[in-house]
Amino acid sequence: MKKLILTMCTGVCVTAISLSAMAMEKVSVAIGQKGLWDTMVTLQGIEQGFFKKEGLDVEVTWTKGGSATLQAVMTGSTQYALANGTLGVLGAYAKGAPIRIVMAEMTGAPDLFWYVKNGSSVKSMKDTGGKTFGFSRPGSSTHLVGLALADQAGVSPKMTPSGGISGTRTQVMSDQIDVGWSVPPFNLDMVAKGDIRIIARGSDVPSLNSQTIRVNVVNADYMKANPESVNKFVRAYKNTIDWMYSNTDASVAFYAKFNKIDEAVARDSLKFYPKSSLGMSVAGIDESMAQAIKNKNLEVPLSKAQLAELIQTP
Amino acid sequence: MIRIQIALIRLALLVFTIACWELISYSGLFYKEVFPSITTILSELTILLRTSEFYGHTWVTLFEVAAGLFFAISLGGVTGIIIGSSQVLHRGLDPILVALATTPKIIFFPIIMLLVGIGVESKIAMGALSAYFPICLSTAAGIRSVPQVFIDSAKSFDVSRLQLIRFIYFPAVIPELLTGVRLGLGVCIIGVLLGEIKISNQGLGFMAIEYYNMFNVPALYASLIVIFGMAVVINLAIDFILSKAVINR
Amino acid sequence: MSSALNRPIVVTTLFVIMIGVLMQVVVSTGLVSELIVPKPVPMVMALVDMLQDQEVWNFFVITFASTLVANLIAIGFGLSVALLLHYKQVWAKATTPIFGALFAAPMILLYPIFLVLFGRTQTTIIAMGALTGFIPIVLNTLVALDAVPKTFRAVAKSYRCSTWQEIFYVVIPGAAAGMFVGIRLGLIYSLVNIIGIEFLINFGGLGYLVSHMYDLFEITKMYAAIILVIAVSAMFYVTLNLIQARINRISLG
Repeated sequence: MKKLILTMCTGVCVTAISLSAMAMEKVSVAIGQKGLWDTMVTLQGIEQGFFKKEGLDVEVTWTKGGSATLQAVMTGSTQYALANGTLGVLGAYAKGAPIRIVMAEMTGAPDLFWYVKNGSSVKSMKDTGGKTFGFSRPGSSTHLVGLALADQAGVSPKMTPSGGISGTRTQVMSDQIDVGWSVPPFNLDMVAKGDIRIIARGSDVPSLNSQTIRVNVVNADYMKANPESVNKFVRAYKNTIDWMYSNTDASVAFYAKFNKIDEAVARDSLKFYPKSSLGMSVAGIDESMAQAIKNKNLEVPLSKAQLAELIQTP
Repeated sequence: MIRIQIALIRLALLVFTIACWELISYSGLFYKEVFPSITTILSELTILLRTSEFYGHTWVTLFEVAAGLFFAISLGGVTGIIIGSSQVLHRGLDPILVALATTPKIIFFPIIMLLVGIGVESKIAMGALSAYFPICLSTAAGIRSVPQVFIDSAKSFDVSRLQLIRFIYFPAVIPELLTGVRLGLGVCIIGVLLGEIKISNQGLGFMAIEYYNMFNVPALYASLIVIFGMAVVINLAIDFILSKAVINR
Repeated sequence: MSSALNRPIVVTTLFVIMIGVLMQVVVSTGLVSELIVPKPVPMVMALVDMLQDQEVWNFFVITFASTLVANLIAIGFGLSVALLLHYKQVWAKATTPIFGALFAAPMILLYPIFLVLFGRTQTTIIAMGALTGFIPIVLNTLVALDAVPKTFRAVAKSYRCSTWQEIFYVVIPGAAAGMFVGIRLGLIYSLVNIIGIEFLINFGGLGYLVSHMYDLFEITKMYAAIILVIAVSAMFYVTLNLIQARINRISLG
């Protein structure tokens, strides 16, 4: 009799565990640019169980950023694509891509910074006239913010596509270009050692501070079929951000461990990411559309109806 | 005597290369981080070979190469036989196959990603696409070189097309097919690694480009040494196996 | 009808049309999204537009100029090294297997090193092109030099030619056809690798064009750019083969 009861209890427990596992919805997410404070929100959320609490089993695929992230969600390879350039998303939507913006990912560009070698004659943006000024690639946020910085300082540097953070660093340190770009945590160790100096930051341009430059998108068909699931994802994401900023010791430690950097450097990185920059509402969409047209992502501005369809923040 | 001279020359070249490298590394001609010393690279190499991550990445790459080659041999062999056994098809499709064969396959990667997604399937497809052309072209050439007297003799026995393929064409084409596989393996490895470099979360190509992105240049050099070494060893091993297989026939 | 089908050009054309029809069918029936495979007619029109776009011709020039410069470097170094090895046979025996192993190695994977050394610049692309072109030039030139008949050299010696006179008036002309095999392979490998690297690092000419269209999510134009690259690679290959055939005919007298 005892054996029978024990067996039945074991069976009930196993069934309950299986059912709860089955109740977890599998969700896949493509994220561009591994290891940045803002792109690690999802990982932090998985680690702290925020997505699990909402019944979501999230799988992350890192991409190099750019169109690869967006196309992962457009082709249904993943349900979500995070940290996509707003201009690229507007352009893809205009071409019929089945995507919807569910939240802003980064508003303003406080994370971007430009630096020079220690010993360079360039002390600030005002000294960059005629100097080679790096940005990742034409049309990117580094390009647009770089141009805005130059406009604001009233100078005309030689805008030079220098590629990724790593390649840019080589070019600066080998004197191939005068000014390089970066985002934390990269190159902050060199700033701390005094090998390089920061001469400008994206937050130096006030007009950009109210423009969403990166957004998180979901596959439109998935959203139509699973609206509640999308709400849960957004909720978990928001709760994660709130937790990250109220528990900086733990969140910074996780960030440092993931990137294999000193916690001191990780903590310095946090200064580049005010909580307001990770706010959920999409801002400055008209400015983004104007830039998208200039950059040839869009041919004409999206109508109000199109914007209402595209931007569906819960 | 000649053998000793050859060995000494190779040793001298190795020493000279290492010496030049170290000289450049310490000279300040290049930014110090881009030319780490040989000892730094070797140290990173030993660290790399002791991590379980490395073996995980290696397994993924080997799996993708094996799967890609399997699909390339299956598809390339079959289409090669079909194309080679028809004069009209061969002369009609050969220009298209040659045009595609001389194109850098990596530019097809966006189409592959659009069709099969960004997972391991895209790397397998990339490897298969890269290896397909040498296998198909070699097989077709092999079929074309089957002596007409074999075909005429078989036809005089009223064999069906399938029997012709199975008993005449296929055995005759094996050396060329194996040559195609040899060539295909090399480009399959390259295709898979380039796919991993472009977009992946795993594999040796991903591992190398991650080191580049993190600016861990010694580890980048170490991972490239491993990748090159493995590619050369795999090619030599396949060369050896296939040449034995051809001899034993 | 059946005699028309026996003509290769008809088969080639029919095959291309069949691919176009297949693309039209899969997209029109919704089997595959137009965001993944474009309809053939807009793709052909995009290709025609590209051929009239000055910017596309600029990309074409960038790729070809890079290939040319890379190969001038590869030819200069390759021929010099091959000549040196030819006159020092024990060195040739020692190094030929090394060059053979390098020929089979995935040299394109060295591009991150060149990115680190030279940055995301045309120098990286040209350096990679020169490296991949250099090895087939050395290998094939060595074979061609070794194949120059001994009687030619004997005749040169009988006229008391110096080594340099022998090289310039006898050996190189005698090996020209074989040397061009190496130069041809070098050019093809260079072009393929250069386009590949342009695509990977999103910089340069035709390879960048494909990558850029993908980034802008201009799928139809991306397919058109890929067709353009296929056509350019094929025409390059055919042209070099024709030149090789001409040189062979001249060599045979």
